[in-house]
Amino acid sequence: MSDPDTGAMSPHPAAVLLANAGWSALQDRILMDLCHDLNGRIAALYALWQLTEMGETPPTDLASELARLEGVAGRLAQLLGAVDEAPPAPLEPRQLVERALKCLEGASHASHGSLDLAVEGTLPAVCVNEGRCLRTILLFVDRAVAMAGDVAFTIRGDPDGVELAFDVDGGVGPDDGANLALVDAVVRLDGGAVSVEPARCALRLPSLTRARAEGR
Amino acid sequence: MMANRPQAQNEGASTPLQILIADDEPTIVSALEKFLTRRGHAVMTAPDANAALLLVDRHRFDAALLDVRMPGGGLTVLEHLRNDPAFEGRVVLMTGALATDPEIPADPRVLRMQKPFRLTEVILMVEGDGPR
Repeated sequence: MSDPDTGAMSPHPAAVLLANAGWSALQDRILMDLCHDLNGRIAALYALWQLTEMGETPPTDLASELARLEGVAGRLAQLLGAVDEAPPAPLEPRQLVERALKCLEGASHASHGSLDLAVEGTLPAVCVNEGRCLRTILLFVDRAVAMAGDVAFTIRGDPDGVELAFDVDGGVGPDDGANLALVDAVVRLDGGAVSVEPARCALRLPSLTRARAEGR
Repeated sequence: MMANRPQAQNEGASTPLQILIADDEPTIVSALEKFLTRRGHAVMTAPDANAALLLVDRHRFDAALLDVRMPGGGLTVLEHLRNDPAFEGRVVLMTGALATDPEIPADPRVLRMQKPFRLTEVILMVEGDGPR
């Protein structure tokens, strides 16, 4: 299926539906993790308050614990921002990726792996639907965690766009490839694509210049 | 009107216990450790299931406080303790009572404590009458 104006390939509607279902499952999982983290923070605050009321010196001060609670609330706000369906707009790609990583940061399901991000060179602004793009990046990062555990992402840019990539030491399995195909289906709605090589996966987003040239 | 304040627990426990606390939440661990130590108990702590299992293999405990959702899972440590004939104590599983929490096996030695919890509740569960 191709766009009559731009000639760009459009994703199959069934693939988009499946990707959206995958997003709903991921969002639910992250929200449950955040609920767990929020509950843990509140439980910690309550324990510290009880010690204080008993006349004990708490092992951690309440202000530090409150700051940690605000950190979890901030991650929750980032995730809820991913449901926004605003029209495509120029955005800083690094901020988008960092928002996605922040949503997953410390979440229980990702606690067995670390997420690192290296930025290579200057990154052009991208032109995407913010909420949808954030969801796409979250799905991509979640797949990366499932495939690689500790993930070292690299983000680099050129005039046509920005590429977020990670290496897979054990190679990309068939199931992983199928899941990434669903991410590809969604990112194509914004003119992007997912490429899967034997030991490397990349998510590409179009630059603002490229998007304008294609009439997006 | 009397304020509903937690009672100071300065009096020691009648029987000092060896207690394991395993949770990936350091503030919870340190608060429980401080509270139970002041009660006269001896406390060892672990941030995850693997570290807890190492302690269980090397030390004898009278009771264990385990977070259900710490890395490695509290139920992993619970199963190890239940299969250890030398362990005759009770286990308190700390849970957020979320829909995704794993199902806790029915066992009279296994108690469930929902976070957030009162520290006085911890005393009842760890020191209270019941199977040991």
